[in-house]
Amino acid sequence: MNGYAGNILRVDLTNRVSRIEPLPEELADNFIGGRGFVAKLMWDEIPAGADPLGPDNKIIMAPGPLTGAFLPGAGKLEFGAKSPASGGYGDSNVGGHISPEIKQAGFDAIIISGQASTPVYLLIDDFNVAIHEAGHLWGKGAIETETALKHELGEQYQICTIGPAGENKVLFACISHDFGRQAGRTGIATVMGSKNLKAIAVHGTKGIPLADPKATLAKGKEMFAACFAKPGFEEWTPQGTAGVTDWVNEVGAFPTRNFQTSYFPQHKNINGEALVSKIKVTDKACFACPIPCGKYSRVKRPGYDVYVEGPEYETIALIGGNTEIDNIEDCAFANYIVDELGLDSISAGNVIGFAMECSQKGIITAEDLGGRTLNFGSVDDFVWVAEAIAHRRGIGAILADGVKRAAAHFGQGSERFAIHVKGVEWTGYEARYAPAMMLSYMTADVGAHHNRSWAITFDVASGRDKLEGKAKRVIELQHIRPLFDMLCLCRLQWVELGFELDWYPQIFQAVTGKTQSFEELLKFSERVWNLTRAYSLREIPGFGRDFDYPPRRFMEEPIPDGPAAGKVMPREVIDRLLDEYYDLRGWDQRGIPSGAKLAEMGLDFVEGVIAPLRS
Amino acid sequence: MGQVKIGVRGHVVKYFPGEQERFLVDIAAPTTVLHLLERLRVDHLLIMMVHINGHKQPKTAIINPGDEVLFFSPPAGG
Ligand code: SF4
Repeated sequence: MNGYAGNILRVDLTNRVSRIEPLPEELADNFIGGRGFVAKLMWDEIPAGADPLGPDNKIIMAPGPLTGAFLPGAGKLEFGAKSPASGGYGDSNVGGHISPEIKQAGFDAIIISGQASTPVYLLIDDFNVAIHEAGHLWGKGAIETETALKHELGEQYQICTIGPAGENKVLFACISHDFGRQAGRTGIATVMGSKNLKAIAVHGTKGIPLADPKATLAKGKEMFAACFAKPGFEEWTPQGTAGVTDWVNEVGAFPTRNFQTSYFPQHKNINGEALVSKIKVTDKACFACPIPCGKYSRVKRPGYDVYVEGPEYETIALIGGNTEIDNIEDCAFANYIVDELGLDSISAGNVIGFAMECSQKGIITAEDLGGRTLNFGSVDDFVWVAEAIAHRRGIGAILADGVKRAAAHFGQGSERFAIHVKGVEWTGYEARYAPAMMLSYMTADVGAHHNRSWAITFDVASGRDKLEGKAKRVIELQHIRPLFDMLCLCRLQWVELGFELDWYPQIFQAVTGKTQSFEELLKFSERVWNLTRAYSLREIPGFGRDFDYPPRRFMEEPIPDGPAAGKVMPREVIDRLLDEYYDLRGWDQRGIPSGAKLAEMGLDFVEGVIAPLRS
Repeated sequence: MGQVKIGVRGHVVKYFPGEQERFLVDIAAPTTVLHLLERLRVDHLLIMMVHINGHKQPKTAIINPGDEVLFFSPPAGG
């Protein structure tokens, strides 16, 4: 099968055994790879109603058919598991170098089941697979663990790890790889922790069959050359995604003070220029990437002289604006702390901003905090509470379950400003004056995440007060962007450099030998979108429309200041957006796919589970 | 009367005339970035950053005939 290694690796941690199976051809034909494999394998293999933190949940790691080829950004890896944060479909991806390594070891997917009785790590050396004791690593930081394993095993291994947060089953723990890249969302690291799996180390030496090696090489060369020839190629790289900080403030969409407002007056202290002039050491790229968006920085503080990858934009938004840490050195230091603890920096900034607001409003008291303070703008308070969360100490044990559950615990109206969808914390774009962006967050299959549909420039271009056309564009983006996660290619070459989308079917054909137009590839993506919806419908009691609403703050509180002052998105507007979205998707008004839509998508196998939910 | 060389980086190119990454614009006299964008019917809020002759400039900066102007899209949430 060209483009595929041809095998699936199964690892049973309970019995400490592994098995290699051939990759079913129909899985590749119908679900392509990466996110497609994750969604189908989750549906088929994780028993309905499985406890996300029990032995029945499975972690699925899947490269894609383009992974490891000589193509810009061909190094992404998709992780999936039943999410302990949402209780439904969960996935997250990471760049770095581990995805090609898995493919070169001979695998298109790794399925990890069971629960080890003691801490272990998984060692994959081509087809030699072993489960080793990891007691000596347990309790170590995520990056500290990677360093220790590199020393122990050798530089040739690509490694992903969890930190104390994953070990302690914090619901927004992240998987760390390549000294600071993370698969951060939906709590897949929490599932790793529940399985006592501290790390996965991989080394592969095999080749990957290509349908047309000459055409693949030629297309790859053409794409690299096109990167270098694009206008502004050199100027964009120095700041990476941090470069967008000023713009998000200019349009009034910057999460500030737990999303109380959308403009941070001190944003220039934490923007891309501050990063470059004050802390950046060098750029850092993933496998085969010509536009290194990663920034490696050095931070010195009393007792610390540390390096951190970042902060990138999302961390600047959630740790910077959302907790009002107003200088880049402190942002980077907080970034370093959460990276070592193994906390997703997005959710950590969101949860800690929520806790700071609870403290501001007297919902969390000095007594709850052991007599100390928890104030916006204090990096010391941030670090203290991040450590409490990762170790589930005191108030940290409540916050460790994310804002949805913490708000249910604290009550007193705090659910109004618990900024999440489906139990997954909102990311770096405040959307009260951006209807398409708002709908993107509401309907993302993994909860409030921006990477399924990033539509804020569409809002600006098409009119931020208008609703027409928003649902249609969000759906288009929800098919285009996740297609990259099926192919396991970075999408930044498309969005940042303006790569033509037509190139992707051409390279898909050169690698796999399969002829698909871009429109046909999008149909695969739509199939997966409907399957992930079906998965959450199967797993979450009462799942549907009620789970697609944004937090009440966005529907009831006008933005108090900044460029979007006065803007709010009332519930009737939200309902109009949802009504149109469901109609266009072929779902009913409760957000359940129709039988006809499932049949059109080739998902007849889910109909038996979904049909009873419609009645 | 003279020409300005325009370059557009990234996804907002679709909002520029003819969706072109590189093109020339005639200007009769010095103008501002904001006026040029208005003339091109591009909302200035779509533009994250502007370089004129290789240097970052605010959107209020003056563009002269013969200048090279580069418009950057905001990085679109990886
Ligand atoms: S653009 Fe950034 S995330 Fe994408 S492959 Fe390059 S370094 Fe990795």
